Amino acid sequence: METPRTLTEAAEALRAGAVTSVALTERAIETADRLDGELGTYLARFDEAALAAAERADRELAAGRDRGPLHGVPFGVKDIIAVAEGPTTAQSLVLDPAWGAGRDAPVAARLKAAGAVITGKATTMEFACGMPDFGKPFPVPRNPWNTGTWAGGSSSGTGSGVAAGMFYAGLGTDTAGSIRIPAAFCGITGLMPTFGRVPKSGVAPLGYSLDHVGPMARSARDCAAVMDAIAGAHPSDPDSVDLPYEPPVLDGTLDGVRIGVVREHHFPDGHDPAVGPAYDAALGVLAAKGAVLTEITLPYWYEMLMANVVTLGSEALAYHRNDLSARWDDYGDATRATLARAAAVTGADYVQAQRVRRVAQDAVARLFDDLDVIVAPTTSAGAPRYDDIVPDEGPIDVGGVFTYIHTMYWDCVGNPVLAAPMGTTAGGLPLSIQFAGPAWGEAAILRAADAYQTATDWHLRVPPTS
Amino acid sequence: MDVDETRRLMARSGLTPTDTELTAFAAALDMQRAGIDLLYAVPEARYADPALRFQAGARVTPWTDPDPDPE
Repeated sequence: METPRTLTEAAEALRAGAVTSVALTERAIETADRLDGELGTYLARFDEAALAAAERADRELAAGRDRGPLHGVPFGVKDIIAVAEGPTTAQSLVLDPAWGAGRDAPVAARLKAAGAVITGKATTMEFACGMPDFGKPFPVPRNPWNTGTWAGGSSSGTGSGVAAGMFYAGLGTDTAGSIRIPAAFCGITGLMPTFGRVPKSGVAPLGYSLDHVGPMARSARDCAAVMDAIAGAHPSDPDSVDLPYEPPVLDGTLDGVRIGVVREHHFPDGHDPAVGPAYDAALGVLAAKGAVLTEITLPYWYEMLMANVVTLGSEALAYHRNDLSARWDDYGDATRATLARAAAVTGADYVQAQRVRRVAQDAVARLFDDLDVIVAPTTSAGAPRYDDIVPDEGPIDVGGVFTYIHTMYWDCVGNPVLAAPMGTTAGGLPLSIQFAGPAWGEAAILRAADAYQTATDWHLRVPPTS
Repeated sequence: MDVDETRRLMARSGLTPTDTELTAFAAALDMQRAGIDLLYAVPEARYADPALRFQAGARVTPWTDPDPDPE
């Protein structure tokens, strides 16, 4: 049979008896054997445990015990999320190996309860915060579409692993864009749920009030399947909210759906010339599906970018200060720069950032009084070349990397946002569109993105390395 | 902010950047301060409550406790 291309295709094939979980897992392992050395997708592989889980899934499915669409499907987990089979490093020399050892984070436990076959821990940026560091003893995550370019971060390995076929879906985390950036650069789909929708306990923190755990996979339909398994409050995460998660209606139509179209701030000087035409083509698809499009602007744009810098930096420095003071050289250059600059933020600055976040949240909520979905480009360029972002000498310009990345705003207001492939640059690197919804409105954006993907095939294209 | 001032600021937090890093941080911190000051220039925030709120009675439930999620 043909290899299933998506998680949902794999789930259908498993139930049709066209493939076994063991066969899918063996194929995932073979792909990792072939490509992981070049792509730097994994920090740890759980081949034996994964095959055992796959055998168990096959036995259960044969016996009629069906745990849902994740059952028997190979799945990767970002290495800031605790999984019992192996250590969590956060791609850092600093994190105590005893942290979370032998335990599953609540979100990982939910994946296992849903029957997912966890194949290993995927690479990240250091503590989900830094940039690739060639001087540290960890794999450098490379983009399967062009290994000279960055896979995006910080959920780098989850992005490259899905794109290259090492697993069908994975977990990422998003504090300033870390699900949506690698999804965009690797040509896959990634969903940052509403803040509080998925428990983040058992996940090494970056910004306590900004961190979101969410799925990365080929399609919106795949992400919806993962959300069914991981959404819901957990008593160990005081930010998680006990609201019912409504599965989306994926009927391929958008009749009368009101979509706000954002252009302002998303086409900076030097943006890739392919982004505008790709975005216009995507808008044409949405209109042809019946959506009603209205041009809008996002309120408090610069203020939310700054509020993210203040909040992330302060919350992260509080967590890291003792280690950073004692082990400066063990941290990577970019992580040091991000954390150290927060030393110049005052307590009043932090509180003021939270006051402005409240104002912006309210303004965004009012936008959704008249809209169902908001769309915007995820980035205004394809994946950057390592030669351009990692200098031979001196610190990395972390801020410069974000000139063409438009994700931070949404972390600060907490709304759910899905990034989906929408075309390529002239050089063949993926481009991406974001679908944002009202708080707790994952169903709306999954429906819109799924309708878009029923009319396009960007999400199904595979990179040359795979 | 000059390099010496930046060094003193970092030292107050126990941080020990290299001279190259200090030079880069010093240049970045002026821009950061200008950006932060923008947050005080939002008139709508004058009487706004912060997005994060204290909850009396909150308890700590370790995530390593036995999982209450039903399988």
